[in-house]
Amino acid sequence: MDRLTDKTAIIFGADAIGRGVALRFAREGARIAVLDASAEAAQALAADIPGAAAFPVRLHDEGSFRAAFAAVAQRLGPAEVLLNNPLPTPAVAPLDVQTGEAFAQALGAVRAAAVAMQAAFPFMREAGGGRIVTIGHRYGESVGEAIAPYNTAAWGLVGLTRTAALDWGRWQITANLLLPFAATPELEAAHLRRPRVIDMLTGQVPLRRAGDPIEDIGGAAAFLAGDEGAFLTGQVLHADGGQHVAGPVLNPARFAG
Amino acid sequence: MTVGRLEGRVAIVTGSTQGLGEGIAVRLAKAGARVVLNGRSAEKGERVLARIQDLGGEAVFVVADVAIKSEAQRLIAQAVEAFGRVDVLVNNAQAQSPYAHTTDPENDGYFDLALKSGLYGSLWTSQAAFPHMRAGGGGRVVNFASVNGVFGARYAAAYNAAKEAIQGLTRTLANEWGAYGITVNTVLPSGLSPSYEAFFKDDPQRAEAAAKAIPLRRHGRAEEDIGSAVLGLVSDSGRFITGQALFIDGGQSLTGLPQLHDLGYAPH
Repeated sequence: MDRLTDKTAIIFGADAIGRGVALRFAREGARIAVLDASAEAAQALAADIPGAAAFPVRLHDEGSFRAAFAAVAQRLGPAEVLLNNPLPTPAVAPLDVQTGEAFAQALGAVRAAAVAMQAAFPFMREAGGGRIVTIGHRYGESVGEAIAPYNTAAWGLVGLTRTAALDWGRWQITANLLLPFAATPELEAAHLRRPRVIDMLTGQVPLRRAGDPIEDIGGAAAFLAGDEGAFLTGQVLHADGGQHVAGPVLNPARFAG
Repeated sequence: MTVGRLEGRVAIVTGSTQGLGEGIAVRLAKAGARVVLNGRSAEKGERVLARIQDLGGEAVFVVADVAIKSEAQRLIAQAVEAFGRVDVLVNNAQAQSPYAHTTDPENDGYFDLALKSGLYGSLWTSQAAFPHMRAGGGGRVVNFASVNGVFGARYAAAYNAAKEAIQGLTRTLANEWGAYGITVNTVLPSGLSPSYEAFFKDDPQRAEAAAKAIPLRRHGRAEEDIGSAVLGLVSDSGRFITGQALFIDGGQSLTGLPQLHDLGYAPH
């Protein structure tokens, strides 16, 4: 439980997965900074972690990311770990009626992930290395029906992660993608709507459950962020109990409306 | 270094008398595991055993050829005899076949050797370990594939076929054994094995050029890089990871793989 001692970790995206990873990183000894477009969400998470600080960012404002990373460096020390958790909720509609706004929002999340990486880069290079762990989705390898913008963004994160691995490896900065299957509020909401489908899906998972955001997803993120991840880069790691080899990707169209 | 993460656990590492297997065994021992070393050479095994004992680790060495079913089964039985349980099984052993064009009539023998030591060896040890892992409430199996298999490196059909077959075995075991809390993953490591080092020994420029082709700009170290990643999979942090193929290669395979065999390099 000391794998990230004296390291500063920035959590960008304070949803249930971001929260689980943040709590796990804190338990592993990291100093935590939380960035989110929602100041409330960032503060709510930071408030639950002793010594953590919250920094709101504006998704389309690169300067706000650079300012936040500089403020984190000043307050907690330069970030050597970035948990990049940018994806929004999918907009469900068949491709023929998906809007330009929906694409802009989803692809804007990929851009925000890239901007967060760029903001982290000088600090990681200066520190002699860094770890970027981006939370992606299985829609970035097996597409889901009726969520074209989200599928496109999820695939985009694969390309972004692998390019970061190639471009920044020489500075011992690793970049990996983590694909979780976890007990999030979204999964619980889906279970309320379609309990049989979700039970069937979860029952097909080899480990027979959805992951715990702290123990399962946070544990895998700590693997990539700690010494054990030293030679892992450009990888797509599934923290999903084996769901990716066992069953079809969850189909969001079945839970809409 | 993180100490004690495998305290109380028993880890078997096949083919651990040299190279990557040795590095993995040492890394797991340093994390507190009681380690069962294995190989075909008693002499080499004693050296690694002494190394782990000198570090204050607990280990035994079992001479066994996992390419022979009864030997693979005996390895597991002796591990249980020594330490009472099996928590982690690392199927690293793989016999090497000579380079051969796929039309070479000697291929029957090469395939037999590669499949028996790699594919069947992994199957037989896993089968024998299964009841012990189930009884212990779960377990971790790590199998070994290769980028050479993924990309179909020239003149290594037997090896490549064995390695890709192991990936199929891994995903099936992950699917079947998850219900018992057993995770099964494949790693595809690229690191400083004896054959790798021999290739670069007389040509530092070549070693440097090869390192430059790796995004992290360095060759993987058996213990610190490959062993540590295996530790990540078999320790608590890997508890929700199963059916995964994990390249431990510093990003080397991201851009595709050069045909190293044509340069005289034996990566396997």
